[in-house]
Amino acid sequence: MIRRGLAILVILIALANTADATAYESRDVDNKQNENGFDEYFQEYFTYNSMMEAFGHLEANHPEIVKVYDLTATIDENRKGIPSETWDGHKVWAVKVSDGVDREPDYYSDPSEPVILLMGAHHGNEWTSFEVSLYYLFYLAENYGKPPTDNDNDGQVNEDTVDGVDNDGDGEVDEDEIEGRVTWLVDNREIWIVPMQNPDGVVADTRKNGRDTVPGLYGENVPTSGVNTNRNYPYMWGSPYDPQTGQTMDTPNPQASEYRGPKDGYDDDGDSWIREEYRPGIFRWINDPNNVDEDPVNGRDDDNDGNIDEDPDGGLSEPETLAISNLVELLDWNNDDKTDVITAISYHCFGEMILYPWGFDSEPTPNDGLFQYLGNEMSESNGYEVIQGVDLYPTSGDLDDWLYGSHNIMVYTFELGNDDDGYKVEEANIINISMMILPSQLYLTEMAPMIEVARERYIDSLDISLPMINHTQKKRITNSDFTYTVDVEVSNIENLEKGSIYLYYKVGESAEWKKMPMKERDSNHYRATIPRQSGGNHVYYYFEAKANYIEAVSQDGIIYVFSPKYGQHDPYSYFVDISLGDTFGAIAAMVMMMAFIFGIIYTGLGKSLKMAIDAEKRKSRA
Amino acid sequence: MVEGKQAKEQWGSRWGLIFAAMGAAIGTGNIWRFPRETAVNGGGAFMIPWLLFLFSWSIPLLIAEFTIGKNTRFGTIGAFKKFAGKKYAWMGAWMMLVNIIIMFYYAVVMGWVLKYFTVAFSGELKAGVDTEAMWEGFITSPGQVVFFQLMAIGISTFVVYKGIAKGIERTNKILIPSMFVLLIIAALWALSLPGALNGLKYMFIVRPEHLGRAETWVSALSQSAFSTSAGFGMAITYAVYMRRKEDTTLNAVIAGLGNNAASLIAGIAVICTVFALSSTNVEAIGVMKSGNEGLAFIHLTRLFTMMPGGLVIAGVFFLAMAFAAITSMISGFEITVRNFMDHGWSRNKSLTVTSSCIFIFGLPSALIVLEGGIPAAFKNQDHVWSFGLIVSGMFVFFAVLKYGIDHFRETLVNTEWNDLYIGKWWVYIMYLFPLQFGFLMLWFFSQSISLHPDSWWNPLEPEGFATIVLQWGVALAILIRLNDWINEKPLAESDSRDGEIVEVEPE
Ligand SMILES: [Zn+2]
Repeated sequence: MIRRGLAILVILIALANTADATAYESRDVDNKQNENGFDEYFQEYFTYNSMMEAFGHLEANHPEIVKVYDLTATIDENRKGIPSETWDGHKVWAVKVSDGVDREPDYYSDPSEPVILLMGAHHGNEWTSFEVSLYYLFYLAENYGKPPTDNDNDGQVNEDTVDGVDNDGDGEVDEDEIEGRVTWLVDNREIWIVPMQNPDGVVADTRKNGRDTVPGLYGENVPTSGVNTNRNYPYMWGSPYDPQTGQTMDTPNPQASEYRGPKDGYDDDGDSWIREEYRPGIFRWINDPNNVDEDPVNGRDDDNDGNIDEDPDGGLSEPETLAISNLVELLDWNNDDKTDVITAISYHCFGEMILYPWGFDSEPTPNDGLFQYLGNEMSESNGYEVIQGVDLYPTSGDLDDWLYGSHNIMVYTFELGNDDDGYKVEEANIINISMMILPSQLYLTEMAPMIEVARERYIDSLDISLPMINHTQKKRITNSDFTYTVDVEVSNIENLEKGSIYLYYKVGESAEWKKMPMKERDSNHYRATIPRQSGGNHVYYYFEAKANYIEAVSQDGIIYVFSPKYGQHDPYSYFVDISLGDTFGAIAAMVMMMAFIFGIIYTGLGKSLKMAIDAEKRKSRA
Repeated sequence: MVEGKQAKEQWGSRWGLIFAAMGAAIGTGNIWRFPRETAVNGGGAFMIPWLLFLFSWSIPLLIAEFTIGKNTRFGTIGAFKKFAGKKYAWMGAWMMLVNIIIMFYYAVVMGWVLKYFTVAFSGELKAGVDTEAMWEGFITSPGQVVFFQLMAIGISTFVVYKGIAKGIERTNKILIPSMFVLLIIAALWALSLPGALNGLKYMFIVRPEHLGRAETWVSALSQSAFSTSAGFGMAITYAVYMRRKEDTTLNAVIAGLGNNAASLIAGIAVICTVFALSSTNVEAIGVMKSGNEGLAFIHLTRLFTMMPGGLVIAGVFFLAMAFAAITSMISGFEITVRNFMDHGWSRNKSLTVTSSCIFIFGLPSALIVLEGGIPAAFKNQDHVWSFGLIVSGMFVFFAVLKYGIDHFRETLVNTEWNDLYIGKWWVYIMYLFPLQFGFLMLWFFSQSISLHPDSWWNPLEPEGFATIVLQWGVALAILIRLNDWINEKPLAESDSRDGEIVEVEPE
C-alpha cells in the first residue's frame, strides 16, 4: 500500500517535471513583459552557497538598506545544548531591508516603522519557497531609490504598478512599477527576509533538518532522520490531533516526516516544582528535581505560579526554530516583551493556498475576520484559496500557531504552486511565480501599520477611521498685524492622540517651515494662531497629527502623518490681507477724522463764501 | 513795440476771479497726487500737516502774491522789478521760467488725460484688458502722444487767446463747477461700491507712526505748495486784472480752501474706488503706492473695467481730470503771456511765442520714453522744476521781507476793500517761511542723493542731485546775467489798468 502510494507520487513528480511552462499560460503572469535587472539571478535555483554570494552582492551594493544577519549566532549553546549553527553546520541567514540599516545597532527596530517578516524553506525540499522570498528581497533592494523608469519600454512611465491588476488596460499586468513606491516602503518599513529557514534541508533536498534522529537513514528523500522545523514551535506543541480521524500531522516519531522534535526536558523557569495529583482531583506541589516542562506554551498559566508559558514542554529544540524565535524576540525596541513584528508570511509548496491560524484547532482565532480579509486581499492577485490552516490538515507546533498564539503576529502560510509545480516550480517559471506572488508581498508590507491597528481592535477589515483633520480656509483674511488664526475640526477624534496636532507654517514661499502645537478648544476643534510675520502676505501651512491607538495599545508610538501615501500633502496657501480695523473704534476714529477734516475745510469754505457773498451785496449797494 | 491802445482787461466779477484762482490751483495734482500722498503717508496722519501747511504756507503766500500783483499791476517780472527793485527782476523771471517749464510737461500730461478720456468711450477699455500694456503702447507711440499734447496746447491757447473775461473767466466759471459735479459723481459711485469703507478707513484713520516721520511732513508741505499754485506767480498775474476795489485776502482763503475741498472729494473717489475694486487691501495699497501715471492710467483704468458702469465713471473721472488740467494750464499760459505783454507785446504775439515754446520744449517729455514706458525727460523736468516753485515762494517771501513784513501787512494787505482782516498772525507765519523752505530743500536734496546713491552725481540721472544743481545753476546764472538786459526793456504803461503802483522805499 505504501509502495503503491509512493509509485503514484513518483509518477506525479515525473508528470510535473515533464509538464512545461504551459502550466502558467492561462495566468496573467505569463503576459508580463517587463524584466527586472536582476532576473538573471532567477534563471535557475539558488543554492545555499549562491544565496550567500547574492547576499554579499546586495549588501555591498546597497549598504544603506541591506544588512545580512546570521540568526544562528544568537543561540546560546550553553543553555540547552542547541548549537549556534545548524546540525549540518549551516547558518540561518536573515536579511533586513530598511533605510538606515548601516547606522542602526543590530536588531534595532525603528519604532515608527512597522516590521514584517518573510520566511522560506522551513521544508528544505520546497525550493520554490526560497526563490519567491529571494525575489522579493532583490526587488526591494534593486528598485530602491530608482527614478521613475519606463520598465516595459512602452513610452509610458509607472503606468502599471505591481498590484495584480492591469491598471493601464493594455492586457499586461504589473509591467511598470512605480519605483517611488518601493523606495517609500523601504524607507518606512522594516522588512526581514529569511529565505532558507532550514538550510540543511535545502542542501540535502529533504523536508526535515539535519538532526540525526535516526542514525543511518539520514540523507535520503524519504521520511527519515531529522526534525520537521515547522512542527517544532512551542505553541500547543505536541498537543492536538484531529478529533475526527484521531490523526495528527505531527508526531513524536523521529522517523516520520512530521517529527516535531524531542521533548524539552529543561527546567526553563528553574523552579524544580512539580504539581502532583496525590488524590483524585486534588493536587499538591512538591519540590521535585525533575519539575520541568510544567507550563507548556498555550497562553495559560498551567502551573499557577503567575507566569505564563514559562516552562515549555517542547519546541525550539532546533537551531532553525530557535533562530527565528530569537529574531522575533530581539525585535523589541522598547523591551516590553512584545515583538515589533506585526505580520509575517511563511512560504511552502504546494497547493495554491493561503493558510492562517489555527492549525491545531478548528475554532477561529479572535482575529479570524481580519485573517480572512487580508487573505482574500492577497488572493486577489494570485487566485489562491484562503483557508484556516486546520482545514488543510491539523498540525501542532507549526510556525503560524506560535507566531500568532504567542506573539500576536498576523501570519500566513502560502502553499506555492499547483500540483504540477510540486515542490520545485520549473526553473523557467521561477520569475513568473515570483511576480505573481509579489503583489501580495507588497500589499502586506504596505498595510502593516493598518494591520496592527485592525488586529488590536478586532476589526475585520482595514477600514479604520483615521482621525481626519478638516479645515476650511477663510475667504478673505484681513489682519493688521498679520497674525492668522487657523481652525480645524477633527473627525474620529477618539483615534487622535491628545495634543498631537501640529501646524506647520511658513510666510513667503522660500521661508523655512516652522511648527507649532494646536490648542484644543472643545471636543473636536483645534486652533493655532500663526504669529506676527514679516516676509510677505502669502502664508503656507499644513497639519500633522498622531493616531492614538497604536500608542494606547502597544506603546509603539507609531507616527501617522496625514499625507498621501507617497508624498507630502500640498500645503494650504493663504493670502493674509492687511486689516484696516474692523472694530467700532476704527470706524469711530475714521468718522471723527472725517468730521474734523471736512469740518475745517468745508465749514471754512462755506463761511468764506458767505462772507464774500455778503461783501458783494454790500458793495453793490454802496 | 508798445501797443498804444490796449483793451482794458478785467475780471467780470469777483466770482470769475475766484473760479479762475481755484481753477489754477486745482489741477491733476489734486486728483492723482493728493490721494496717493495721503494713502502712502499715513491717511489721517498726512491730512493733519497737509491742513496745517495750507494755513502756514499756501494761503499766506497767495495773500502776498495777490497783494503784490494787485499793487504793481504787472506780471512776475514787472512785479519784482517794481516791488523788490531792479536788482531782483531776475527773481520774477525765475518764477516765469519755473512756470513755463512746468507747462512744458504739463501739456504732455494733459494730453495723456485727454487720450484716456477718449479711451473710456472708444471701446478699447473692457474687462480683462491689459491696461499696463495699453499704457506702454500709448506712451511709446510718438504720433499719439504729440497729437494729444497739441490738442491740450490748442485748447489752452484758444482760451487764453480769448482773453481774461471772455476766455479765462468764462471757461473757469463753466469748468470748475462742472469739475466739482463730476468729482462728486465719481466719489458717490465709489462710495456706493461694497468695500468702499476700507478706502475711507485707509484715507482717514490716523496712522500715528507716520506723524513721527519727516517724510510725512515734507510730503504734506510739498503737496500743499504744489497744489494751491502758491509760488506759481498765478496770484500775482491774476491780481493784475483785479478791479481796484477787489478783495485779496478772502479770495486767497477761498482759493486755498476750495483747492483742498476738491482734493478731499477726489481722494474719496480714487481711494474708495481702488480699495473697493482691488481684490485685497494689500493690492489696493500697492496700487496707491504706484506713481501718478501708474495709479491713474494703469490701475484706476483697470479697476474701472471691473464694475458695470465703471466705463462711464472712467469717462467722468478723466473728464474731471481734463477740466482740472485745462484750468491750470490756462493760468500757466497767462503767467508767461502777461510777462510778454508787460513788455509791450500783444496778447496774440505773446501767446504764439508761449504756445510754440511749450510745444517745442515739451517734446522731450512727450518723446523720450525709456524701455518699460518710463518717460524719462518728463520725470526729470518734474523732479527738477516742481521744487522750483518752493524757491519761487521764497523769492516772494524775500520781496515781502524787503518791504517789511508787518509794514506790508498794514499798508498793502489790509486795505479798505478787503473783506478779511489779516492779523498779526500772518507776520509770524511769514517768519516761518525760511524754516519751512529750509526743511523742504534739505530733504529734497538729501533724497535726491540717498535714493540714487550710485548716480546722484551724474547729471544724466533723471531724478538725481546733480541734474538739479546743473539745471537750477544754469538757469539762475543766465537769469542773473540777464538782469540788466531785462531791466533795459521798458515796462508797458500801466494806466490802462485800474490800479496804483506802489513806489518801493529804498532800503
Ligand atoms: Zn512545507
